[in-house]
Amino acid sequence: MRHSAEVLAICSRRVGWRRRMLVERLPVWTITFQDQSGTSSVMRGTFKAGFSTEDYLEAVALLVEKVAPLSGCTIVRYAVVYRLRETDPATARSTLSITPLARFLFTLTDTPDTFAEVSTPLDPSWVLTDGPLAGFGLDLANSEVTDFTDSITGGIWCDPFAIDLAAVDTAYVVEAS
Amino acid sequence: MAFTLEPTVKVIFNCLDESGSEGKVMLHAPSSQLASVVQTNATALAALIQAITGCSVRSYSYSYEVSDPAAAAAAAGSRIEHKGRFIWNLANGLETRAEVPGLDPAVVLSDGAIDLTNADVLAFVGAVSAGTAYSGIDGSDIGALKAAYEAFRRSTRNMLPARRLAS
Repeated sequence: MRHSAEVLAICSRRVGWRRRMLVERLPVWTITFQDQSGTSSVMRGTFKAGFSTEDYLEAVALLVEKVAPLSGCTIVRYAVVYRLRETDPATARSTLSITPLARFLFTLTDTPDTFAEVSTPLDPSWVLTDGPLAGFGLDLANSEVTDFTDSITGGIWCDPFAIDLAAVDTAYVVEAS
Repeated sequence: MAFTLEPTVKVIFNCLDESGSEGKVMLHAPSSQLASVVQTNATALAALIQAITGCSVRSYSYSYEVSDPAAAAAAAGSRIEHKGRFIWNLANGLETRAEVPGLDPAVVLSDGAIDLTNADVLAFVGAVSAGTAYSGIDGSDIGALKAAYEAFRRSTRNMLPARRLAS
């Protein structure tokens, strides 16, 4: 199925209120090779728009079949990747990663004592300022935070093994290295 | 090869803060979901991520991955730095290229050109040229093969062999 170029108007507090849009780019295919030393390399190319995911995956599978005999490496993975990119040409000015992070732990529907984590850049506004978790815990009662966590638990999101996320259990600051 | 679709689609949001530093937010969705559904949910979530982080969501991607958990071992002596570079003409006059890592020396001629009479090479080139879904980076149709030759990439530290001493 082909989806139309969906757009999203984005405004950001920190980077200023500017109108930006996420626009759909052409999907790409990737094939991951691994050599004798265990080092990986990705071969990639572009797809035209207008095909279903199944069609794309079949097309990559055909390439895998045809390219494998040309290489001494083993093919460990292939994929179809959909991409959306902001129209604003702003690029990163730093090689540093954003720190600290906010880590949200969600319980799983099948095993409530097991958790899945979602980490995001941290907005210090949501850090608790009193109580035993002051300076460490995040305010899960804040409406913007609740909108985010509800969207995760009420949406299609799951853990890496496709187990649904049930509820947010806790959220805290991580001083990532 | 026993390739299996991964159980989840990996969705990665790329964020940019006011200092220009980058961060990523990764979530998963069942791979049984249609791409359009994943995209609708991810686009909605992008706005919420921005609301709770203050960062700009510059881009996001989601991928359906197929992996082989029991892949055969790579051939002895295979090195990903040894590439087979294939260049095709595009319908719009530009070019597109694909590089095959770990090129089998058996398909390379003595002058470094790739042997276009080799049946495996012909099958690969033919599949790309005949495939209706493949395109150049701008969506232009792929035409005839323009060039095919071996190329080498400089090794990074991680690519160097673990045992480097003569003894």
